[in-house]
Amino acid sequence: MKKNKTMIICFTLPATIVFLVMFLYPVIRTAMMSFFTMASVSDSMSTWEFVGLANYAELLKTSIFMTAMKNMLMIWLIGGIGVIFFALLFAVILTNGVRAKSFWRAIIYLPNIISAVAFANMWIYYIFQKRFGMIHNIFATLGLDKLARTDYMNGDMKFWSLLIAFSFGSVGYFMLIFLSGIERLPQDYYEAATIDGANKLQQFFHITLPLLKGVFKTILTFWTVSVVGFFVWSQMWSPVNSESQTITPVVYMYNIVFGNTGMSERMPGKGAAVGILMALVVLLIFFLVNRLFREDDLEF
Amino acid sequence: MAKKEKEKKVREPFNAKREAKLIPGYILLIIWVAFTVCALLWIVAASFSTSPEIMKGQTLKFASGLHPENYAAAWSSNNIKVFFMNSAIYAVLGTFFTILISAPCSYVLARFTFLGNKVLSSSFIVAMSIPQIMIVLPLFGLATKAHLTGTKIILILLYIGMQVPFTTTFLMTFFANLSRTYEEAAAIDGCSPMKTFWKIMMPLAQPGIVTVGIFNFMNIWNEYFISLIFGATEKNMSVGPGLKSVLTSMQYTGNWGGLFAAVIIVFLPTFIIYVVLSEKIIAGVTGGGIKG
Amino acid sequence: MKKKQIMSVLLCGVMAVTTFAATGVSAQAADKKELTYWSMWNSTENQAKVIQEAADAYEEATGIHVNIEWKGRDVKTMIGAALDAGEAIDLFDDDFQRVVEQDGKYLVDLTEMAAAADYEKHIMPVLLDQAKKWGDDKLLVMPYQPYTTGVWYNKDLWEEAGLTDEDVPETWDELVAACKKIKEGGSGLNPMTCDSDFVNLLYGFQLARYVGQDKVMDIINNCEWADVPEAKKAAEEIQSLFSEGYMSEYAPANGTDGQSEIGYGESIMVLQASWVPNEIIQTTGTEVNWGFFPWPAVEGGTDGIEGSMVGSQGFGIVAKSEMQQEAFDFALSVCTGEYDLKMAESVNSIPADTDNTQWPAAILGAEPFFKNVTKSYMWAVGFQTNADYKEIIQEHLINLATQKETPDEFIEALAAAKK
Repeated sequence: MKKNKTMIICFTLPATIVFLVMFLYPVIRTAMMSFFTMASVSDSMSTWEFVGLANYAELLKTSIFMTAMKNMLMIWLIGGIGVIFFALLFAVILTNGVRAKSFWRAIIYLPNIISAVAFANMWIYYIFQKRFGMIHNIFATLGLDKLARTDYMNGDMKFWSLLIAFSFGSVGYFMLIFLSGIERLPQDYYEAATIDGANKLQQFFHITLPLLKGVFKTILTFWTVSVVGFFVWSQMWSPVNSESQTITPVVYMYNIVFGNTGMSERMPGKGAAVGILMALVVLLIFFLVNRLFREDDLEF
Repeated sequence: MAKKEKEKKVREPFNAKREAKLIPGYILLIIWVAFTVCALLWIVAASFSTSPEIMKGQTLKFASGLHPENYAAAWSSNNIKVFFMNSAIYAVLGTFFTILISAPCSYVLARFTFLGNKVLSSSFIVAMSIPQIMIVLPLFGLATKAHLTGTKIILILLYIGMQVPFTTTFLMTFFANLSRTYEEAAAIDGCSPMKTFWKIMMPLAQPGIVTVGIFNFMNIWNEYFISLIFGATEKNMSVGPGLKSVLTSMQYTGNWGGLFAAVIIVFLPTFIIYVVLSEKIIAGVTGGGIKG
Repeated sequence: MKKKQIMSVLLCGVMAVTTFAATGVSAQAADKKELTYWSMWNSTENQAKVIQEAADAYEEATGIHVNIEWKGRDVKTMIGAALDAGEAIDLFDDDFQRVVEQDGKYLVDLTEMAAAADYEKHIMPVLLDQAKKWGDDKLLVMPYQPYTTGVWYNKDLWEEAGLTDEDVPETWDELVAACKKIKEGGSGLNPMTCDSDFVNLLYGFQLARYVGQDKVMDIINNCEWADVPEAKKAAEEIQSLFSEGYMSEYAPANGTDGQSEIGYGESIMVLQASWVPNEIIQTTGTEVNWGFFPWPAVEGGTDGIEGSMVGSQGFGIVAKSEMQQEAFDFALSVCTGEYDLKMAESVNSIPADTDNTQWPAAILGAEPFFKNVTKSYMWAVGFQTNADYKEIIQEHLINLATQKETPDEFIEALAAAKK
């Protein structure tokens, strides 16, 4: 058994160090930073100035930060509903015996393997292009002149075009998770239900959905994490200056910590507070999800 | 119906009634897929076109013929070759070392009970859901203190760190599912546990390792935020921020055909891997998804 | 065994890449006297090519290698954090106001070196004044590639629309009249166009014409929108350009689509900085015959055409650098003389050196006015200076342009947005 001990230590040590350096230490330090002000991220702790909750209080009073929060929550809620709806729908369609299943699955997942920057270019310069773009052409062909004139990259529409583009790419990923969830469901439930005369729709609502609770939990967690980290799409939609339709907390943090166009001071403490607030959001949603989908049923 | 369900598993005979029921499903799939494919094909078309044609919406007419020289221009003068090589370095080294660190750890976590096992394995699960925004600031501070900013090493280290929790968690299931008889047999042959791991268990877990490796490779290849903050100079940029910088300078240099050629070049490696190994990649997603 | 093969191929790949990375690292360890310069350009841009040439020439002359890190525009976000972290940077460049105001604390005062090289007389007075004003009488920046801002128009289209030099406006009313004439002339051309990132120039200029730059800053910083009647008046007038159909129907357009309309022969005028003729030529591939006039004066306004958004890029030399003089010499070679002229020619920009009097043809029209610019405005008259407020201003400007908000609502919204 002694041998095993050395082995356990040798094998876990590198990963443990990674965890301590890459996750535990930064989390603790970020938490502490959020109660201080400092001139630069790399300043040593002795030069920090304690300000209590002032960073948080200021953030909550900053209207552009609140706009960023609002954008993020809207993406989470509306995008989330859309993404989960389509992901589940496709997963159900694909598990109901369509032909060439792996072909459809591969193409729907495809956007996830493309660099977001590359993919965003496609949306901006082709699909949403207001004079020659794909959507414009479709509406123009249908004779819907008014719709064909929509400007997707200005005003409120800018938020929605961003939301749609981002969500579209996410559907494939969540569809895969649903797919594997559904495929693991025990077939005999369905057979019994079919014998009892339940139709497909009833089966879906009474068997599939309840059994997918665990999968939903996973999906909500992953979706939350990906929305909280929302950054590159926002940068692509507003490449010159951040804008209120597309700003998210990460973008705001990037601006105030690394100092964007404004001639303003850099505020790492405030940036850390943004980080902590984001972590709290994740925790809160995690907690709610766990309450909502209590694991009193079967687990897969 | 029940009988049919079973038949389906063997081989699907054509059944008009069944197929008819699926028509709405097919329609939806076709619309979605057609949209994706059209949009991607447009990028391909644009990459062979010229700026005025792209900007005037005449991409698909190819009035001035094909322009494959866009690719040459993108590769060398737009610096894509630098970004491309960087991404390759980050992805290959990052993936390799991640597995080197994660595989032994996940094996031990899956096989042995010891003090701290639970703590460590749940720590990794928690780490997977920590937003990056929460950890970048101290890491940036650390990197500058170690004078690693502006080097490739820092990015490789960070990518390894970022992938370790997921990889370890993913591989744990793999090792847990391997039969213990292998180790027992090895022990009888006088093979030490460590040796057993490297010689026997690692090869056995290869399907899982390849899957998670490809998945990590793609993630690192397409990564943006970390590369932007820590590698913010042309010679260290990976393809994501690199493309973005090409895009910003595009406003001034105006070679949009070159930009889209760059997009295709960046997209190709992951696409080829995907075409060849899509089953593996998909397995990677779902494996991680279920565990998380 | 197929698996083994995969594994060995992977391993070989890893080793190959490791050696590659290792050589990359060791190469930079070579011990040689060199300057480190963080550049705001991407290496593919023409500016970068000229700077690279200058760097090569400098190395030839002095033996000092200039290690140029092409950072692109993100240099503005990265430089401060990098300098804080003690990164060894000798010089960098960015918008010259930002260099002084945002990063001034890292920079060395160049006054003595400039005196020794008799440099100040090479700097345009209007830029020198600004730089000294922001730097509290210190010279912290070496301006190059200056720009001015005004309305650029396609002379051929202007004539095609039936207008002559007589129609070139000097006042707001004349501008509106010219737009009307084009619109009703039946040529089908749009009088003006704009891009969404630059709507702030239109409103900014109009507001500054009424109240002047200093007052605009007051308005922004103290949220005085509702107390200044001109703010609403300017909003009404700018909106009228859109609502009367004097703007292209696609304005405000995304990215650079709007300005490109001029190259494609769809629109005639655009309000932009003097880099725009070059951008349009580059993007559209059309050689445009450019005309220029300053943003017109308004009735009862504080400022006339003597006010303009004038600026430049600028080099800052880091105080911690051990090679300040060398960095200065290198920057000087870019800001003056031969390479300044080359820069001007290659990107159609204004020569920075007062000794270089020959402007490139594309922007020649702006020259007579530029000499008379006595009041210099900040970029977008300072709408982008407040980190917590700039997005809000931008949002409502777009709403104003797209007529989603009336001028009243516009002013109300800006006044209500607490800073």
